[in-house]
Amino acid sequence: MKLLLKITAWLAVALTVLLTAWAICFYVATTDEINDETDDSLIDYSDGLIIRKLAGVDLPSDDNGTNNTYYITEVSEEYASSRPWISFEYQEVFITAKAEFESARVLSRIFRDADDRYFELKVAVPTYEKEDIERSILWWVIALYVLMLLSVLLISVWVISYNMRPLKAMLKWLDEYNPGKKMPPVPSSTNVTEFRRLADTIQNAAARFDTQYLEQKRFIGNASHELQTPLASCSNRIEMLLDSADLTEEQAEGLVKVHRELQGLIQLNRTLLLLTRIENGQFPDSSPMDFSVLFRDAEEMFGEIYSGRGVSVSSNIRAAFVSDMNAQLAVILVRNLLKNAFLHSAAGAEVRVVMDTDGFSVSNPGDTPLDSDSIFTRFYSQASSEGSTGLGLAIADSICRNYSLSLTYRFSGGRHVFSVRKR
Amino acid sequence: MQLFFIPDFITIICPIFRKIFFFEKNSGTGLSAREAYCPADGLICIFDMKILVVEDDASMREVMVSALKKEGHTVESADDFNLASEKLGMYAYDCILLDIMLPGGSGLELLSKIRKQDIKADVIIISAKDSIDDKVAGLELGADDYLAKPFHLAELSARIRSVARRSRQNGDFSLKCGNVTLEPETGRVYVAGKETGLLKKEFSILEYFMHRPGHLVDKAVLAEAIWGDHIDQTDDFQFLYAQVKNLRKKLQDAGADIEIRAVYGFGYKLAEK
Repeated sequence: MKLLLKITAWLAVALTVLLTAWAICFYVATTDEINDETDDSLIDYSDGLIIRKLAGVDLPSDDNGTNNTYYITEVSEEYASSRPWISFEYQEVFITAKAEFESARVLSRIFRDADDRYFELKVAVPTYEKEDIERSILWWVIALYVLMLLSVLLISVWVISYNMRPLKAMLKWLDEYNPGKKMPPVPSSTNVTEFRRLADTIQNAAARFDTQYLEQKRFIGNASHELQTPLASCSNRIEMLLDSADLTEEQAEGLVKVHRELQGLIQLNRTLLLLTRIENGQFPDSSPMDFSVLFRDAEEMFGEIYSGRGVSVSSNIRAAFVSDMNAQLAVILVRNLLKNAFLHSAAGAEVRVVMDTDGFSVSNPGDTPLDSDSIFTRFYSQASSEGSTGLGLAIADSICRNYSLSLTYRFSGGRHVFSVRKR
Repeated sequence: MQLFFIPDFITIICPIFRKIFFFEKNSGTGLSAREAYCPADGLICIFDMKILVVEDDASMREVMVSALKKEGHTVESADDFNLASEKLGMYAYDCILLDIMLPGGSGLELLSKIRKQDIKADVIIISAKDSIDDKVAGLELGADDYLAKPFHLAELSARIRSVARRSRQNGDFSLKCGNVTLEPETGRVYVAGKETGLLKKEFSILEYFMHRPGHLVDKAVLAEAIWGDHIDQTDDFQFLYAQVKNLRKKLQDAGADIEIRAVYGFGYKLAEK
């Protein structure tokens, strides 16, 4: 998730909560104010009515154009004592002038005349429609919310992207950075302390990486040189001996055995160096690789090599999986996975390859699940796999990690399944 | 018409080369003209060459020198940058086997010096650094081939022959053993002048043997060379046996006077019948 998107989303959520709370407060304050004013006028009006009634003066006409209505009814003492002297409430009242029900604020007052008779006065004034005001406040809040949100987002997008320019420049620099590659200094033309510190930290870390990378590269070169040369001379000496005519069959056989052991050692050394080189990112060139083509070639080759064991391959290529990768490493990845499947298949078994645009999987039948935690570590190999270096899966894993692919193992349906997916 | 012409051409041209190189080289190699001319069971007619081995590791140097001498070449060696450039200034060589990491300087440096001085020798870089960078740099500087250590001796001699053929035989890259001629670039094989159809793998196997006539080839090494280095030593070699069996039959049916002979049950050798 982009930082900008994240900040915007958080702002949107925060604004929603805030505006809802604000809308509720606004509604309560508005209705309170309206009620207060209405109640005052109701009291004034009822005061006049009560004084006139007690004074025996004619009461004003009910139909005076104000939509105000009142009723005075005589009530019993019990009723009067059970009611408060003054009470307000909302009621749907029939307005005779308009001949319809409207919501009204109703004031009820109990009073007593000189003859100790009790009366109840009800004065009603039509007031606002509760639903109307709620709806209109809601609409205004939504309009305000959208407007605020848009302006807040636009401003924040502009402010953030303007102020994050140094960060963007540093990220671009990091994208282009590769250990061992000549790079300009980290862009730090900013007066923001945090960004300056970040730039300095990146610069220092990159410098450390570079030194480490060069040291490792040098070490690999030296280890390779130091081991390969003696291995070469040993192996070549045996080859010379094997070519000499006066060799008995027994001696020749012994020599061939030593020679093969040595070839295994040479292979192991080469593979270890390959693994180190992959992990050091020393295969920088990459191009789009079509794995369906690589699999077709590898299947043909392994099919031939393992034809004696009757292991067959069935592939289900729903769509070609294409990924940017170093060509050499892509071939190694495909071959290692296929070879692993072939090598651990019993005679007559079927190796299955399934592929779609997001990845592929290679599976072979097996009896018991393997330890998925250690299967990709170096030299994890089972007793039955004598002769292999035990590095094939470690290399496949290392290649995948280098190209942000995931290599996972699972045991399902009596098959060991190795799948490579885009992360 | 042309097919019959090729062997004749070789028999005429070979002695000429032999004569040229016999005069050039010191007569102190102890090899007779016959030995130098036809090494390896007399199967292939390749002139002997004057080779400079530039290698700092004493044991490696010694084994390379003695193997190449056994092949019938005249071999000199240098163990560091300075001695190598000194020798290159004084003598002419046909082929230089160049290690990259040398005391006193880099092999690549020496290579650019060789090309600058217009020394007309084939250069094969032999490096323990099996890295693409070095390979590309070497080939860009004008090396003819690149061989990563460790290699098989047979591979080395095959590479030497192949660069020599490329630079000296005016574009004729064909390999000849007995009455069999193999053209690596066209993928054709002729037995006694008649084209014989071989499958891709059979062709590769025959080509491998024809580069190494008379040498014992371990079947594991052969399988690795043809099918690549993911062949395991524990693999059964059924796939190899089947191919070799077919190849043998095709060669015999076509009337070839060479055969792939099984040796001690663990390898093969290309030999005359």
